[in-house]
Amino acid sequence: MLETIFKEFTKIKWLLVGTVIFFYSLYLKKQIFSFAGEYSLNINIWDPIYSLQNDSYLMVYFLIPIIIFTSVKTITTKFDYILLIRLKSFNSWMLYTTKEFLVQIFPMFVLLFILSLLMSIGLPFQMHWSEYSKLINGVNELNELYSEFQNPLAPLFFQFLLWIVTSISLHGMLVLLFLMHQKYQYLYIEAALLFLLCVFGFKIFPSEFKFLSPSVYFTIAAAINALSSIWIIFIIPITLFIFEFFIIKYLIELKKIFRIIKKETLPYTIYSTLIFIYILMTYQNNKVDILTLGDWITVIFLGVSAFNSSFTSLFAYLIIFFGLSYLSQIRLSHEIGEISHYKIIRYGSIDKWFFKVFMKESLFLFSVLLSIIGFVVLFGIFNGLDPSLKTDITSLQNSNLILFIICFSFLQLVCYLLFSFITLWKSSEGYFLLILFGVLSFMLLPGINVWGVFPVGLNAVIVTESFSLQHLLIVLFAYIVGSLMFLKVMFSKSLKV
Amino acid sequence: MGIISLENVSKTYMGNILFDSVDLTINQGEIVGIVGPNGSGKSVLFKMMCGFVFPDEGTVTVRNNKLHKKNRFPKDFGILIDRPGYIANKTGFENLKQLALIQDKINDKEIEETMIKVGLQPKNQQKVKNYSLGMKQKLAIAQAIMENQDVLILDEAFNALDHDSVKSLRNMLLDFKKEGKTILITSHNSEDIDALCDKVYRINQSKVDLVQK
Repeated sequence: MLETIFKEFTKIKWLLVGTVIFFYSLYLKKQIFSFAGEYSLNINIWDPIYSLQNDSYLMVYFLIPIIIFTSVKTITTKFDYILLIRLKSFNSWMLYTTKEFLVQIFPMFVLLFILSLLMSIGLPFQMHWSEYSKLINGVNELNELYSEFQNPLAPLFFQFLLWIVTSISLHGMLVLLFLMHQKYQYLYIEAALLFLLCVFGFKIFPSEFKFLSPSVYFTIAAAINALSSIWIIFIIPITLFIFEFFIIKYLIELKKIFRIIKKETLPYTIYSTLIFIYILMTYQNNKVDILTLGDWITVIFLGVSAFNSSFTSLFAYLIIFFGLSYLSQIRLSHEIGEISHYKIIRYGSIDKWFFKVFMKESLFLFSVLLSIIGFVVLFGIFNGLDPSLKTDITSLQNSNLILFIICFSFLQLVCYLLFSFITLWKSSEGYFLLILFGVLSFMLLPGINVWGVFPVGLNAVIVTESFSLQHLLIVLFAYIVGSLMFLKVMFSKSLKV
Repeated sequence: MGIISLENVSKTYMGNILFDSVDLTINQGEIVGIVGPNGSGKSVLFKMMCGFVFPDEGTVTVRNNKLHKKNRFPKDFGILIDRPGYIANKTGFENLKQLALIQDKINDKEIEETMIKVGLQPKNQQKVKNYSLGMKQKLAIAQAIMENQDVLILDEAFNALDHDSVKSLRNMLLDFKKEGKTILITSHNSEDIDALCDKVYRINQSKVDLVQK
């Protein structure tokens, strides 16, 4: 096994992962220096080490996607009846894939561990916590470590172990979910949902429910903050893995229950439920500040920009627009599936076939978008809001506000539709879509899309505070036209053999 | 010139030379068998004839029209290539109906008749995802023949069919031949090829050779 891990370590992808972590750690170190300098606090080697190891953003936006991707890849490549018949049971298969998954993911943690140690070069080695670590403020999470561990050396071991234990239990969860249906398409949806849960769980869940977010278990500081005890932090993922193992033992009975749920309608039901919960929660949390229908619509479709971002808005954007795009992808994958040959030859032209598919999906996106807006408006009216579309939150007023949301959201959704189409046309492997939407999600983060040139989130109301409508329109149209031209070129080539 | 002609066609896929300067002519009203080992390029040959794949060199001509980017897909081709294509959560009839609506040449009754012809029940409400392999294959054959296409390109059409269905499909293809249709088939079962084909070509070391019957 060690030899296999070593072999895995020599792959070029880890050099890329290492480079990203390295540059991020430099940025973190700079921040620590600047903060400590500003408040005249002393720092030592443990500050950059634990800051990097406990950085939730790095975990959630970079490492967890890699972990989920690796897990999905392991499951899809190892789910083979020839292998299953030799392993004799789903439980043995689960353990087999867990071993394979661990081999693939292990170098990443070693890399992160080593890079975090490297970050400490040049700082004093002390066997006690620095003033910076002890500081209690909203940003610094190291005080959680300071409050739990007397010796700053101890979390090093626990942190590494936690990464392994949590990754295994996360993989176990995906294995269990996959074995329930044994459909790759559903696995990709579940992986995407798991990722969303990781991304937002730790910020959005109230403190008493934070333990439900998988991302919390990747950093000791966040886990202590959520659960208070270092032992419980380990007991939960280990118990979960054992639980997953035993559920798989009784899988056949569970599958019967699962079949009762109408599978085709499941993604639509989940999407509608999430939208409804989001609207309800947003109203509950903001009802004091919401006076007019304009305020209410703006809050719902606020979104995020490079300069103004909040987790709730990011979460909402991902649910509404990426969720809707995902529903459209499910429909698209039916169109670009095995039946496409038989349709194309009847249309006599790929362009004609594409036009039909494109129109059908655009209509679907537009209808759902209008339904959501309609529901939001009705919800506001039924809750007694002033029906005026004036708002103090944004400079967009009255009909301009509604028109912006409808038109720009539609154009943005068409962009996502075209990107999904290109990705699916290039490869029917669903995890390429995960990568696509992972990259798009990354572009939504603060400080990334500062020039407003990346085709993501440009329909957010808040973006209009940074860019003119003309600018947004040009960018969206440029990407749509560019994508259509790209498709035209792709269609003129041979289809996949 | 035949209904389908390949002139000097070469095709390489992933570094593997599938065809090297191949000439082939298929005449109207013939049943032609293409045989060859796995991975020899039978499906790719069919895909080139249908316009899905372009040759690296040479030309493919169908009814005296060269297939190229602007004139890519030949008309009146009924195809079954690679595997049966279907929408899993629809019934067999709904699947065929969706395809039939594209050209709108046939009505529901004709779809139902085709289904019965291949041995499927048009009123069966079973979703295709619950079909057996043989039923999926019959559905694929139904979509290939339902619009009374002039040329039928059937890649491994006999796969997964039971003995009676094989017999019935053979008879059906012979009837189509009598009507003047051109049929190209591949099959791993030499009996099918022997029983049906007027000519048999073997793909051998990137060439397509006529096999003497």
